[in-house]
Amino acid sequence: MFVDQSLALAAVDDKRAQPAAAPPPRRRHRIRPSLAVGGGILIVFALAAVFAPLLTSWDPMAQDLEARLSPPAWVDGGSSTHLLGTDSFGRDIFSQLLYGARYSIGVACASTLIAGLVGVALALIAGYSNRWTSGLIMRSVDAMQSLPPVLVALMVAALFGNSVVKLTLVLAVTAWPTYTRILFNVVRSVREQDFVSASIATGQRPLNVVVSHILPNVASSIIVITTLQIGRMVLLEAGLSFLGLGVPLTSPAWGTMLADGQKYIHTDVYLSLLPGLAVTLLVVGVNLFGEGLRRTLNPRN
Amino acid sequence: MGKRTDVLSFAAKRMIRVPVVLLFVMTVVFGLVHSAGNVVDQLLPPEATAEQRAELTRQLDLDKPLWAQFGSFLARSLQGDFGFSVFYHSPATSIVLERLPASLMLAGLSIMVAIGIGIGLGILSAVRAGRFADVLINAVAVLGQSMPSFWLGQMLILVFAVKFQLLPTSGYNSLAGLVLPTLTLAAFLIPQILLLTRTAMIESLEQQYMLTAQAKGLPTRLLVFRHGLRNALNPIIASIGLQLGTLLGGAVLTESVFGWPGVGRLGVEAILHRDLPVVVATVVLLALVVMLTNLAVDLLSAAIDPRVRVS
Repeated sequence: MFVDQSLALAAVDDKRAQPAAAPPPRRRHRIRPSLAVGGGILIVFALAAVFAPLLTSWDPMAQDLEARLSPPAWVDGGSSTHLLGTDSFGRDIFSQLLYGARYSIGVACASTLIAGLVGVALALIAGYSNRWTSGLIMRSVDAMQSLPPVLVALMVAALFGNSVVKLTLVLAVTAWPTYTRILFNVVRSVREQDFVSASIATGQRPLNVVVSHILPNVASSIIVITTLQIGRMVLLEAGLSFLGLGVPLTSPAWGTMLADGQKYIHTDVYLSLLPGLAVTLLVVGVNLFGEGLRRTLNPRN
Repeated sequence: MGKRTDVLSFAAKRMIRVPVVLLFVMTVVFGLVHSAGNVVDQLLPPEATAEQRAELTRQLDLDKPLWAQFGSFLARSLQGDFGFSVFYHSPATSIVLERLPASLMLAGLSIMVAIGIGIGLGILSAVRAGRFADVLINAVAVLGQSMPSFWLGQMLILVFAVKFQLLPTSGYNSLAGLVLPTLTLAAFLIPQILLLTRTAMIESLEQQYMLTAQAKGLPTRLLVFRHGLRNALNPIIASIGLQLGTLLGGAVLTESVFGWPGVGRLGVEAILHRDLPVVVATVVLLALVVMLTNLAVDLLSAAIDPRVRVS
């Protein structure tokens, strides 16, 4: 999706950084604005998700039928009882957004973690093994990347039913190839470095070489890919929930709220506007943070 | 190796990949469908009779071992036969092929618009690197990357179709109806093209040959287009190739929001109707389109940039 470009850049920068003869000149550490702003946004969202019960007195799924479709407090007709208004069932929007953050962040982080473990492991294996094994792994990467992720996820949801755990696994399945594709080339180029050949020549076991020499060299790429991948997962999760095949309807999720909002988009704009802004702001935070990380971790910049 | 054989062997290598990758795709799809439980239950509506069930079981070779089932699935698929859609009362393949042009048109148009706007803004931001225009363009690019595209679509409908009534919300047959869906999909591609163009342009503006050219007194505009843009072209083409799967898949959501009669919406509808033959046909044929486009992209970049052929 949108992150591939930054991801590709991350990998390219890494590759270029390796053969540098002299270590990069030491600079004073200054936190980049993108890192600070992105990190700040992420901290706010994480706190909101963790402390949701303290920040609102409304149960996100409780229906206040007296106050259905009420607008946010600052609009005519709104009241301070429901800060951001209510939906068509009279459920408090603010609470739903807070609790929805738990699903968005939780599902995105968990699926990225799984995808990262699988993708990195396969990249290491492919980068380290013979032509046939690496060919097999890389062709399965090609195959996964030619399958539209939304359709695969939908197919799985339709065939196996949807739950938060299945959703997380499906998202992980669509995400691991990004890791493998980018890291494979990096691993290959690191493997051809002299110090790696040397340690192989001294009879180190492959696993040792991978863990002690190759992994540290691809670590910064992994960190950057992971950050940007989380943003991608948030968007995909929102899309699937929007289609009704993501987070089950009985739980508050931003995508589900957007689907509800679409029915009232001509009369109650806030129902679509607010959850959409929440998704966008979270992903802006993730992307800024990832971009800041990429620049900080790459000595070349 | 001569240039000619170089290109040919590269092309041959890439072409061999297509059937291999296709086999992987088919295995994944087959595996998904078969691990989900009884295929007959998935394929037939609940009100189907026992005879219909028995007939389908025999037709799909479900009474045979798994490898034989996979073999016949492969064989039938290769002949373009993905089964019969009970819901639409016609072969799944023809339903998908009927809807494919609408999706390809939307995707193609969005790619063209995105390339135009993305390269334009990318050049502008590279030439003005560090200045206000650059910062603004980059900020908008980050925002564009971070929006769910279906939500952007909703908001565009709200502003342009509902509030100001400038454009129809959708409409496959009119030119005006194309504007909003195209913009929505293009917005998803523009940030990436823009950033790639910017990076490549800044890099090539710093190169020695640019200084030389400048010293020769060539006008800056010519420099930017002839030398700078050329370097940016390949990563842009490659990234669009990689994005295509996501673009066609992401179009699922865009098509749903705009009621666009493409394969994406067909796929979603088919999944909701549990119309498995159409689902399988949609997924496999879309994957095939993506693979063939990627092949074309690879060959094109090899033709433009000799370095690609060697690596």
